[in-house]
Amino acid sequence: MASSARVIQLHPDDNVVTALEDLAPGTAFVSGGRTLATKEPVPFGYKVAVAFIPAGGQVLKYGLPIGVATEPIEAGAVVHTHNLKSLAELAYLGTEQGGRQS
Amino acid sequence: MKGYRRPDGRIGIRNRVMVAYTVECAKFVAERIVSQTPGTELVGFTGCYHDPYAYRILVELGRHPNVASVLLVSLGCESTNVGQLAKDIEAAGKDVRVFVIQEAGGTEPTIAAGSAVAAQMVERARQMAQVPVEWTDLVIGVECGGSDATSGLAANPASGWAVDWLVDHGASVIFSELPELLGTDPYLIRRGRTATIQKEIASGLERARRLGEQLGQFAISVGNESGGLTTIEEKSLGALAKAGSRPIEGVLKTAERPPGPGLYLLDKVGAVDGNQLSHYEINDNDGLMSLIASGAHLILFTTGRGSVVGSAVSPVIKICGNPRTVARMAGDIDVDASTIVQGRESIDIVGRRIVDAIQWAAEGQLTKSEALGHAEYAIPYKPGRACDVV
Repeated sequence: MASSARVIQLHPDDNVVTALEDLAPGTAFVSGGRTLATKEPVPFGYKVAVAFIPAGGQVLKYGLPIGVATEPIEAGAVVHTHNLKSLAELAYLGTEQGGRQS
Repeated sequence: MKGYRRPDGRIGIRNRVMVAYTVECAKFVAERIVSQTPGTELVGFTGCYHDPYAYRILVELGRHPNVASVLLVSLGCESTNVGQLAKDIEAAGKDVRVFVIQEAGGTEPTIAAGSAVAAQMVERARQMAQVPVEWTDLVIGVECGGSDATSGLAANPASGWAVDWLVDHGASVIFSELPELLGTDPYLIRRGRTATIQKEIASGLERARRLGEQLGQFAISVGNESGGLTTIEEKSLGALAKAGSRPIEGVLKTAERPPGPGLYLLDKVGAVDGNQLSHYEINDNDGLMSLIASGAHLILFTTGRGSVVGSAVSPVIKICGNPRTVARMAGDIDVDASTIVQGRESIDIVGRRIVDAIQWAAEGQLTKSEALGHAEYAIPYKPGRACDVV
């Protein structure tokens, strides 16, 4: 435990945790009593999968879906805008990109 | 906890004497009365033309249980019906006095007469007996401002833990800011206790969505993304986290109060028509005023980047999850939630400290912003606003 990195799981049902510090690839972290390792760099505030998420599978944070995976996501991989899409933005705007602003 | 029983049966945790100006032209005189009379505080509406939103806010601030008595300062020719305002506040059994500058003889005589009466009001307030306050007597408002990447991880979930605790102990809690909850629709709606409440939540979200569409502001920003957030759902669930997880017992409109214990949603979106500017919340204190006008005795204010504001009428407890902000602005932060981000404390431990902070404030201890003298207020024009339309 002492060597595991700081992450936070906001709900027991979540399949992602949030990094509380910048994590290098191969960093060990504990989730649900299991020790996992990051597969790539995870910046502070970014999410990392704690279970395999198939393409089209829901990504759960706060115990609720924040979107669906656009490709298969391995445990330990970063979950961000490159592999996760909103369902609400689609529903609201009829476009996947329409909801972004600078 | 101890407080003051008001004639309408509500109990306040503060005993403030409110001096309110009813038009910009009366503001200077009202300010002087407040600066010459320790124990008073200032609010007011600058507009000359009647505005139903501002009027209802002033009525509810005057009736608020944290307020012992009210001194209204009017120029005399503003469109706002100050006589009626006094009557509406008096209807709650409050001691209200009106000073009309044009009748009292101008600046100096009004300041002199007003200050004398205000000093008497402060003295009478000091002599009021205190009564015990139970959790069931309290209405707590929840607001966020100056959010950052830590808000959805630390300050908001800890606030949510405290909100659940408060609801479970019979308090009423009000949250608001519907436009920030877009994307959570299915989860927010199903938290409504009844089908009618669920319909009202859906209606508010739909109006917030149409408003966002018209304003081109329905979005998640690049700054959010580089902080680690991905979708509008994720951003909004982080904001919703501050309201905990209990069922929503009702949807309130402007100046309406929770009819009972439990969690309530204040819908300030209003009808979405051509008059979009009326829907803007112009700043955080505007949001705080509306929660207080709905009866909030105390506000939980979560922040990441840091905020210094307090409020007139009700104390504000600031909760911050960003370690750097906590270190830099320690004098303004009541509850340090950055221990969650640092991995030193869990969400429930910080949530428990928030409950403790509420209890201390309700025992009379000043919050950081109160001790510093913060007593901001914002009562803008909001023509065609929620209170009249929806």
